[in-house]
Amino acid sequence: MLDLLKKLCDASGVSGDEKEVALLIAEEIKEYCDELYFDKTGNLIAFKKGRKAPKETVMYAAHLDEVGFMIKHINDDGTLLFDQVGMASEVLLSKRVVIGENRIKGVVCSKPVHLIKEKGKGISADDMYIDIGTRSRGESEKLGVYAKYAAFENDFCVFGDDAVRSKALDDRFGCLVMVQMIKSDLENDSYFAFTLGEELGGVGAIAASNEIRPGIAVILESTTASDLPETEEKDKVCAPGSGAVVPFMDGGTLYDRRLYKNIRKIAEEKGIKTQTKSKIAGGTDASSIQRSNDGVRVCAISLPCRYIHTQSCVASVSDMDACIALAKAVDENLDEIIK
Amino acid sequence: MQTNHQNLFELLKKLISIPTVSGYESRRIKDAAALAASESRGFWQEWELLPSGSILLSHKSGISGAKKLVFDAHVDTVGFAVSEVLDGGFLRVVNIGGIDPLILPSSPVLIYGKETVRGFFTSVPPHLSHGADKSNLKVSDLFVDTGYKKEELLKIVEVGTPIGFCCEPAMLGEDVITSPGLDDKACVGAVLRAAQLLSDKDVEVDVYAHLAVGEEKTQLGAKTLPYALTDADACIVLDVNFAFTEGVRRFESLIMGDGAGVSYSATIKRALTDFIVNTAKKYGIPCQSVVEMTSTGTNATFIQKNGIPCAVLSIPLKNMHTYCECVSLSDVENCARLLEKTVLDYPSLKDGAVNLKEA
Amino acid sequence: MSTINTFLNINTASGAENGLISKIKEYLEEKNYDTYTDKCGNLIAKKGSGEKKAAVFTNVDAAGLIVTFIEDNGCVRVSPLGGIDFRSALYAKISSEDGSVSGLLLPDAADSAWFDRTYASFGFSSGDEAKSHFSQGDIIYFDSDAAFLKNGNMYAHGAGVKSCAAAMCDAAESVVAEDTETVFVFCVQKELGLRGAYQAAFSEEPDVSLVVEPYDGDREGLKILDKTMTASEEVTEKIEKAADACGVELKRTVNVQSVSDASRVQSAGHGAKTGVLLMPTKNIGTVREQVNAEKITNISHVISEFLNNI
Repeated sequence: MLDLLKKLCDASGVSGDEKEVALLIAEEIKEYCDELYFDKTGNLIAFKKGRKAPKETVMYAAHLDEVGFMIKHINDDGTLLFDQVGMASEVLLSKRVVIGENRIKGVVCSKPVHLIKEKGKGISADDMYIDIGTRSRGESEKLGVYAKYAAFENDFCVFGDDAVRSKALDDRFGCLVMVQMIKSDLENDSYFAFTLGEELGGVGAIAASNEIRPGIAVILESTTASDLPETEEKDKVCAPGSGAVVPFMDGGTLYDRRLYKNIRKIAEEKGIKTQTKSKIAGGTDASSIQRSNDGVRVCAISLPCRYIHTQSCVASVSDMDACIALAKAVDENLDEIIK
Repeated sequence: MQTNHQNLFELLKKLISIPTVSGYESRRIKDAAALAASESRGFWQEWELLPSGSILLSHKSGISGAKKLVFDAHVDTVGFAVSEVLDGGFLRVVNIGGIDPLILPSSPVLIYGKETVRGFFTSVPPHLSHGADKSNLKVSDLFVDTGYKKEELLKIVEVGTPIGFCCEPAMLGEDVITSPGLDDKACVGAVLRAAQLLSDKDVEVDVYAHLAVGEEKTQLGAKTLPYALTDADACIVLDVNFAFTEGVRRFESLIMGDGAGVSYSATIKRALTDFIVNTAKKYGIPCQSVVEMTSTGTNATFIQKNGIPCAVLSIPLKNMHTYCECVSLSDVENCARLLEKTVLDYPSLKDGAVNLKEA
Repeated sequence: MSTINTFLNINTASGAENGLISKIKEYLEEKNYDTYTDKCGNLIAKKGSGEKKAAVFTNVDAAGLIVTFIEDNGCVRVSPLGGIDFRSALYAKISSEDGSVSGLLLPDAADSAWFDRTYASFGFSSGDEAKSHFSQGDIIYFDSDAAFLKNGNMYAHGAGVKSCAAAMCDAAESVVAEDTETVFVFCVQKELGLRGAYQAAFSEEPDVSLVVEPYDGDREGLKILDKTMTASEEVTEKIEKAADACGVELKRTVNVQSVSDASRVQSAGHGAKTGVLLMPTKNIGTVREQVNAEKITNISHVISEFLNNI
């Protein structure tokens, strides 16, 4: 499982440029699907028959994209100005990035800290730039970096006794869960939507929902964990190691109450560790899907993830196993869950 | 002025003279549609008024299985609405769309009530303002002077009456048109000019023009287009973008005179954008670019979100949302030429939707 | 007992509208409307058939609370569901969804400025006792706590939306609707931005839509525009005509701060011409919204007159 996860996380798939990841996934699953295609806007949609047809059309969803950058301007000295999606400016500095199909290496910089006169004031992304080692505009232009996407360079690392650190766990892990499901035997006919642009506000999810028109959607995501020292219990949201997160609400959605209760019940019966969010925070594709068409009942299974939306997402392997087991249990017990 | 420019100027003038304040387009939208149809040398075979209030013009190629391409340009403009009718014949107004209040004092407007009457935004004479801080000026601090007595005014105007800028289009030199409403009628003009260019060619694509309502405020046209035209393959959204001037950063603007600008953004389809850029190179049509990763600020955001992949083409414009918006007619002409060639070459673009099982 | 009197004391919260929805359903089925509940939980009631379809929308949820965490000492931590004036929420009476436990929302300290520094107090002596009554994700109501004042005035939590629902139910009785299919939609989770109205409008596809909503005004109103929508001039004119016929004078209102379901109804699917009727509601956004019986009656007359003349 971790090998596949590394493969998925290493790939570059910044919002708007998800094709590499989509094709990678397509390669992995194409023998196991009954239908596999890109919809008009570029979401990857898979359909797999199970032992039976469910009472309602069910769609699993995970987003292909990760947070990242786009090169917007080349300075005279060859350095690059950038736009970015999804990140706080304090996590950008000193990080290595890879730009475009040729994966040109660069580093995110700003004025040296020793030379900053106004200490104590954060540095905004506007004052940062990416250095690719060139000395002039002409050199950079020749490398064709203008308007290209840049993703963090990855260093996938299993550490401690249960932890994984990687970029893009949000939401390559969700994609992995779906890949595992597709490779296995399913109880119910199911749709799987690998969506675009979640980090831009659920751009692909609406189109996928319009295409498939599900009655039930299960969103596979990663969610923010703030279980750091000196944080009050109630503010921790959730914690790696405490199980798969089944949220009842987040910043964008009040999840379907019956689905929420039933999933947690089934998890308890099957001995799968779950937790929920103790603070309303974050958002997922669920908010777009829930509101699409004539409405969709939504629920989510999320991986608790520290430092989400940075180069170093940290999550627990046992939680990953719990999420995979829970997704499987949802499929096996779908009739019970959608009651 | 060149003939082409003369024709474009006349066309834009006619378009601009039809008031379409955002939210109130229904009053005159049919006139705009009739104008669009009559100025396109017969290219548009028919047009319909959509439930959203937008107009959809169409040209069917007659070829079965032909691709469907839609151009989207918004027909609404920024403006104001009356929020209160006051003693002395003054009106309090709210703005529709983003307008910098600093440009308003002493500016002329047209009030579209039971009849169209003129008015002027108030301003305090400099000798009386005591150097008060004007940087915090809000639209609600100003009034519109109508010259009527309140009782007479109430026969013409009510709460909600729309108001627009009052200013006749004019040429600055040989190439630049100045007028309110060039956002986005300059692009509507480009679409109609493209239709003129296509009118005597063999077109193998079904082409639509969506004259959208509500872009400045509600995005009503954009949100509903994908449900009105469910089988469109792609959409090219045409809107204006900031032309570079002192004080504007180079990378967030376009150069006036360098042609239409393509946008590079995560919210639109790169393959379609690349196709347009390659088409421009192939035919030697001036074309420039701008990067706007998270949002183009156009109808494309909602059109693509609801299912039609988009590209964005912009005409550089100075002084956005003011009386003296400026656009280069060469840019409008080059934009039209680029649209024309994109339509003619479109059949050669490989299908965006791929069924991997067949691959 | 009048409709509003029946609705006023029914608890409702965003995500837990069922009490009010079932009462409305009962009411409209008695008046021979076909009803169904859609995927979001919206209640849709229909009558008649014809070339035209007219739909009237209101939302039936008010602000509530959701349990996020249970402390070891029995304090129940909550997050708001929807928008409520914080000062009025403090020390407000609250109840569990099944009505079995009552309590108060209390601040942690005198300077608590937001819900993350409040707790729901039910008198529990331990976390375990609290957990036997509540789990994370449970919804807690602000009590309706209705009271009747002089001159037909009355107040309760959620009185604004309840009076809109009552006006619509009263209007439903007088709809004759010869050549029109008339649809009444009672939407959920507007406070949470679910905009149940969008989904209902998407599936019903009306030709004309009327949204009825509370506003901070002293008499019956007609919304011309707000922050995210401009009403259709054609529909606005029809509403004014209906009001004239009923002898009701509507106050034309322009309010660029307010946001409502109306913009979602207007832009659902391929869109519909939409107008907005406003129910005057004092203390809007607090737990003590105040409405007036005569104004509710006036609004209901305007609605039925409007529907009978599409």
